[in-house]
Amino acid sequence: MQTFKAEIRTILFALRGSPWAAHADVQEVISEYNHFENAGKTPTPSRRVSLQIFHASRAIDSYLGYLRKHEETKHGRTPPAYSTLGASLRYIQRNGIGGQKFSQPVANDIRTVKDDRNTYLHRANCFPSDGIIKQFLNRTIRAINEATTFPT
Amino acid sequence: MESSIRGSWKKAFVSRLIQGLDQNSFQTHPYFPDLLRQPDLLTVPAPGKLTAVFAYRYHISWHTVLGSLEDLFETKIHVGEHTAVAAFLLPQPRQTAYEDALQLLQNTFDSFQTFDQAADAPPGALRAVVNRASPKAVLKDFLHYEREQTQVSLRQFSEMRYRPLVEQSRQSELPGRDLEDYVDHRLRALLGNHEIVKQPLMQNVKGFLGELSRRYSFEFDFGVSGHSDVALEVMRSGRYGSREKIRYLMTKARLLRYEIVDNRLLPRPRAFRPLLIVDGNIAGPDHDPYRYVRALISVGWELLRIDEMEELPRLIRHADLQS
Repeated sequence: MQTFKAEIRTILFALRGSPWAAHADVQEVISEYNHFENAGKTPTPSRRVSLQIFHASRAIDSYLGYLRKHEETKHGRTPPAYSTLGASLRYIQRNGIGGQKFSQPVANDIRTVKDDRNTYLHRANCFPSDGIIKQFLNRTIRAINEATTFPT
Repeated sequence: MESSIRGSWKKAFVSRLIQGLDQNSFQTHPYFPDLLRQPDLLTVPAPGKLTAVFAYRYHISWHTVLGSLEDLFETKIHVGEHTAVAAFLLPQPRQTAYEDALQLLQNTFDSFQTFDQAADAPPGALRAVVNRASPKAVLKDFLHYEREQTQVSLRQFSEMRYRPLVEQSRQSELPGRDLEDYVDHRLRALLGNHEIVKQPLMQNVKGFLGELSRRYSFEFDFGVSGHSDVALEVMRSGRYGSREKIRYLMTKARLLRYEIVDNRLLPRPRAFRPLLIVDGNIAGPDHDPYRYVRALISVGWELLRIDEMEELPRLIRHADLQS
């Protein structure tokens, strides 16, 4: 059984140590990854992976949504109340955050994360293997790492 | 190469660094997917302040030192420029030569210390390092350009194009000396009227970045007369053991993308095009087979399998058009 402890702890350290850490909404994202870490203790495999996908998806959705909200507010625009992962990505690639955008491979990673998430959250009795979760986490770590390098 | 018996010394050394520290204040064995070598420790002493620590034990040579420099660059680029990067080095054996190599590490890492042996590190030394280490300004322009150039270079990456290079069944076929002779022979046949230059030297910006007193050059396996912006390197590679060589090649390409004008670092107006001819495969780990391919392309290497060398004349012409 894989708990992905190293991956999750790395995301937590990267977020806590980033210039974005002081933002209240990013603190919520950090809490979401704490929930992900705890989900690793769930003994039933199908429940465990469902929770892991659920928490990882909410975390990246919220983080990218917050980056968009922060940027729009900075430029005096009213951000939407909620931004989907796809919409946040499109916004970031079009407008940038502090002048920076995701690199092409990471933008592709985020699109894949979105597709995987949709598959496993919306299709009945469908669960990812540990290998798929590892790839899913690799992609989210890459996205979060690149996002933490955006100027605040 | 980093010592192969690293397990035992590293465990003892890292345990000494974190002795007496709160378990929640650091992470051992962190995992960042895009780093070719992971830091040995991560710590966040205060929100917004991240420090990554690397512990090395190796024979000092430009290969090993530039491999460490690559760890510094990758951490700053992929984890963030705000990250302070500290390094500890236990030279094996204690060497007094290569003073400029040590000075390079001293002047680029945010904190750098050497110890003769692991037991020389004071218990809980991590705390002092974290208090001292803050990101240095010396790499600011370089990292800014690297981030930009990496994004541009990665547009060329496509899994389909490079799939054969990550096939683990593809083994290197020629031993080192024969490989070099074979490539030499093929180059002369393919490029005909161009003169093939062996072991050309290309000036790099290592001395400038490391605030060293002299200027340095990198040697390549082959150059092509009349194409000073193209150089070729040949690599035998298999599923295992290629990472150290790749870390060195990464820094080699990065340090050749720039020139110094009026004591300022600037990207070369004519892009330098390093070409890597691979005999074998450069597959990454199973969950990310393209890791090494992506990394090399991100710093400007054009990758070519040994069985597609007929592409070389076109690539060299393309280099002319690009510049």
